[in-house]
Amino acid sequence: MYIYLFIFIVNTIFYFLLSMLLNNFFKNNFYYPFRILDLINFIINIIIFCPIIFFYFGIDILFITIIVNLNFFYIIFHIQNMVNTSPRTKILINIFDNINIKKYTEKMVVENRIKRLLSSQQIIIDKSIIKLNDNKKSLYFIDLIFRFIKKF
Amino acid sequence: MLLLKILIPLCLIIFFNKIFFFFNKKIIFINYFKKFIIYTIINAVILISILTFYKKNILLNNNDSTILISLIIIYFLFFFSFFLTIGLRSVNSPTHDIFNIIKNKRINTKTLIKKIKKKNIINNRIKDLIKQGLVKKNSKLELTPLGLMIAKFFILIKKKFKLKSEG
Repeated sequence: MYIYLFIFIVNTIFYFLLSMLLNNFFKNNFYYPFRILDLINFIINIIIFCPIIFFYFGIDILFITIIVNLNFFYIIFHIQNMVNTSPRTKILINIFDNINIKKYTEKMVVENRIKRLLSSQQIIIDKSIIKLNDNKKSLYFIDLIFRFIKKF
Repeated sequence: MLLLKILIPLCLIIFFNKIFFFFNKKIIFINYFKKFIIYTIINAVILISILTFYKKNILLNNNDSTILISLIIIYFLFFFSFFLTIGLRSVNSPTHDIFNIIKNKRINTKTLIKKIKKKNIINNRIKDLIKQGLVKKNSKLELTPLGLMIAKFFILIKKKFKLKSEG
């Protein structure tokens, strides 16, 4: 039990530190909606910690370790997303920095999102008309997840 | 068998959500967190009672204790993941709003901005932050002590992960 706890703590610290390091030294690209650096971080952690866990505890705890790392992946993904895109976080940070809240408008919200959706090729603008990119279905998948969340 | 064991913490968290949203239509995060602590204490008491009833000293069996500890860890991680996601229940993401508008209609950016303006995203968020106890309105908007703590946490994350807060 103590060996497992030790490996779990090392896994946790390593996961968050590596995520910080990768974000500081490499440019972030998206495999929409995920950041590629987050996916790389998850895979590195799985490669390092799963064999160790399998060696000490066998297949059951290995499976649990994958779920633990999936949770880390989701938590980091979500917190980064909150800081990056959430209007509520932006309002809190603006109040903290004493920035006039009236400068943050719905126009900015829409423009930022259009910029992000364009860079991830989820939408296309054709003769100033915004359309969903039929070759990319991630937004439909996200829509499904939003509907699913509302049921819980 | 293992899958069943993993489902226990997941089911416990889903059950907690179901109870919470049965009594509360909208989420106040601090209440959600406090009620989770009470719910966890009740679960801990039930678990200890079961183990005592069966006179099973789980700490003597290394394999059982490792699985129990890992399930407890998963229980808290599942909760934290739900805690981060649950806000989307009561407030629509602007990206989701945009998706819902453009999936059926072909519109330009100006019309999209007009439609989103009608949803009053910013004011609704400010009202929600006041309701959550993170912001108070005097002559201007100010952070409450809890709001200040959370804002500092986000700024720390922003600096450490080199992120931009675009909104």
